[in-house]
Amino acid sequence: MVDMDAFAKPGKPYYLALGMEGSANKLGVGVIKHHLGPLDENNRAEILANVRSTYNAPPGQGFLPRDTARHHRNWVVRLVEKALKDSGVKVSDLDCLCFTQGPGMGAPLQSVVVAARTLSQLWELPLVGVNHCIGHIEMGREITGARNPVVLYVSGGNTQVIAYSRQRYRIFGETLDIAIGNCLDRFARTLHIPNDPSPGYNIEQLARKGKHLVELPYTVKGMDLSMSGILEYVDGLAHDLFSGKKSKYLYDEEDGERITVEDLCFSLQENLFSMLVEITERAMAHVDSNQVLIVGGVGCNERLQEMMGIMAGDRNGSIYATDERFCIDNGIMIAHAGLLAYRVGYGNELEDTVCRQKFRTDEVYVKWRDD
Amino acid sequence: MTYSTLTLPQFPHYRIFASLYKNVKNHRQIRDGIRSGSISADFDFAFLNAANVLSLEQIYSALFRCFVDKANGKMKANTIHTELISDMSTVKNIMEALTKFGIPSKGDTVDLVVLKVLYSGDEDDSGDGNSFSPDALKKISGQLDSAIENDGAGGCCLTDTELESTADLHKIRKNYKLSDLFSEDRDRLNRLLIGTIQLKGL
Amino acid sequence: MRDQIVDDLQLRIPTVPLRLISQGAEALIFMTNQHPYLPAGVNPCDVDNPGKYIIKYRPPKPYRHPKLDKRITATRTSSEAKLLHKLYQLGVKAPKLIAIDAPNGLIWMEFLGYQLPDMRYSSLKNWLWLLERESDRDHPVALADNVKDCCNGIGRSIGVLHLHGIVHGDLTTSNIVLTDEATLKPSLIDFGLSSYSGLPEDRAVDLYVLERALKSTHPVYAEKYWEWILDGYHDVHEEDGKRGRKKYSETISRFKEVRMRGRKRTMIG
Repeated sequence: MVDMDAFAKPGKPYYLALGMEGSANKLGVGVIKHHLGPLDENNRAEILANVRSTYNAPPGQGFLPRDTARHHRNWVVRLVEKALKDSGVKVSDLDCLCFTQGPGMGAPLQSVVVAARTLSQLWELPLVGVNHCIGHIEMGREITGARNPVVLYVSGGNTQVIAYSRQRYRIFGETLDIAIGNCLDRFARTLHIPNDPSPGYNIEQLARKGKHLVELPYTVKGMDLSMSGILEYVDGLAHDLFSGKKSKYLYDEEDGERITVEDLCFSLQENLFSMLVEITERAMAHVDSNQVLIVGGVGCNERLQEMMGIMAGDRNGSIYATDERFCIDNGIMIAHAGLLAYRVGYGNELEDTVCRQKFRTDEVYVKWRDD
Repeated sequence: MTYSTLTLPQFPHYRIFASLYKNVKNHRQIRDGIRSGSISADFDFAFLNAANVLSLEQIYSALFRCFVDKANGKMKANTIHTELISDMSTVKNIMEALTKFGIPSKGDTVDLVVLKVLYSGDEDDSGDGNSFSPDALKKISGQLDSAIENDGAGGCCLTDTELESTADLHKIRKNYKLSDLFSEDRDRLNRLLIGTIQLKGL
Repeated sequence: MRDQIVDDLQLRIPTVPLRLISQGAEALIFMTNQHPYLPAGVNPCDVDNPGKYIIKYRPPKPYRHPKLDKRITATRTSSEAKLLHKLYQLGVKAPKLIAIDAPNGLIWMEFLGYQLPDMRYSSLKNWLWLLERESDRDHPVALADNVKDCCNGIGRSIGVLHLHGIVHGDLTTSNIVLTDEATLKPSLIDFGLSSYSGLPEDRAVDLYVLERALKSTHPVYAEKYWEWILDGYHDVHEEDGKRGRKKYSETISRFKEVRMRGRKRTMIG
């Protein structure tokens, strides 16, 4: 059993941490409270504040690092103030300050690190650098109560199937090229559909109206997958469709109807999600688990959840997913994972707070678990 | 006995009449008769050039392939017997398959493997009355004996030993497009043919 | 659910007795004594164990769109069957293809292996475990010459595969079997994740996956086993001449890289 309280402040029956996230286009700040003792169903983490601001690029464009970083710098002070106000916590009562150290886009990560360093010196609080993926995983476990799930982490920048083994979250399968969220976002750009509330959400709505399954490449390679070829292919179909081409492949082979933008969204989702579910199932068989936890922005997609649910059900297991407060990048998960690390002795000296764009999930030694 | 009946464990409702006619002289006449449709409609068989047949296992393998495709609604030919000849071959084009694997046009005498798919009583879904019964077999055999001229020798039982004498390894090498893969070792050759038959068109 | 899948298959082929022997994420493996097309008494030529056959079944995946599901099942099934036949053509020891029903996700193949003295199946894993249990300081039977020869043979098989541009994709000590009690001739099985690839990366990962599997399932002697496997792998490339030597050095240098970073590529961001 891991001692989670070796670093507790004498006489204080709880911990408080503030977390800051800004690895992509969302800036999030959260405040979390842990009571002494290991977390379990009777000792849950308490979410005291969870605020977020999203930078949306205009339709047809992706968010650029420079503009995103500017957005984060503009908002970070206001969000921290709001989070503190929401939580009713005094700065002097905080135990640590957690920030996303990576992986992510360089400029946005840096803008948040700078803010964290400043606050740490201002408030004399220790810094804890958090791996963004670990943040998602730990928050997902805490919210859903899944004990040892296989984790599917699907977002704009990441696509990984992760399973815990011997104190590491090991990457079982992952994308060989672009991330799923990135793939969907870029297709949304091709279709010129709005980025608000998120390109993926808008694709999901269109996909609901699709009825013809268009054949797309299916590229699972062992435990990994590749998506750039699929994107290129479906982009090509969309261009041909818009340019009014009459080629045979633009008509459904059964009812002869012309395929639509909705059909393309539907087919893209069906194809990509099948690939994701397949590698997740393989990981579950491999580690002999029947729980799946879906985290990351794309995890909000209801069709993905449904497909994953059918697969898990067939294995007599269950699926755990969170809503958009936790699925989408947020500050609370950074506070939570950072606090877990802090409680077993982790912390970053100022010179170790350089952000790491390629920080891998399996680099983190998960000292707070020993199962 | 002048014929055999084959059954496949996985398709028990099929019975296959099988016979080998050696030294057939009127093959061209039969061939032309079938092609022009001048032969009566109930003269419905799969005639295979025995030169291409190495073993019974090869025939069973093609029968299996044919029945699986039929069950899956994936038959390419119009009749099960044409399908069967096509399944013995490596070529996609059915006419070409008939030319290479069906009744040969060349040669003074040829050896023919003759197959006819029958259905055990209740399962007759063919609608063409090819139900299996001992009488039906006798009738088929008689029908063939009278149509095929081979000095009155009639058909013989289809066995690996018989096939060994009628198989032509050079023809097999050529028609199965084996080139460098070809092997004089009959066991190996046999497996190569079976693999080819199973994987055809996939 | 598993029972349901087995029942569905049994309904499809009612005359075939089925015994489920393993279940993966993608396929179920059955053993049967019934050849799919040869009647009892007629033995197929050139198979190791007449009267014992393996059926690999890829059941439909209800989470997938039916159209997509059919397509994937049929392609996977036929590409695995094609690969088995290809291996036979190349002379690589592997289960021989007997029959295929691609739309229904079924492959029949030869059963390879025998029963070990401890009644277990002769996978490399079980065999090594047996020898490891019998080993002690004075008599390390797990390091005897026959193990060395067997490991060499495994290395050679993988080498031949790689020389022909094929990667196995899932090399573990359960996916290698001894096919003959007397000669201990090894064979690779389960080509479900195999593919054609000319990339040193894919070959390197193939090797790395096996090295990892050895270390985790046979920690005590893994190093020796691995050395012997690599010897065989090396020899078969050497015998191939200049091309083989070049391929070998490419693969091995990439393998060292993969080992350093632990299978995975550096992260994209």
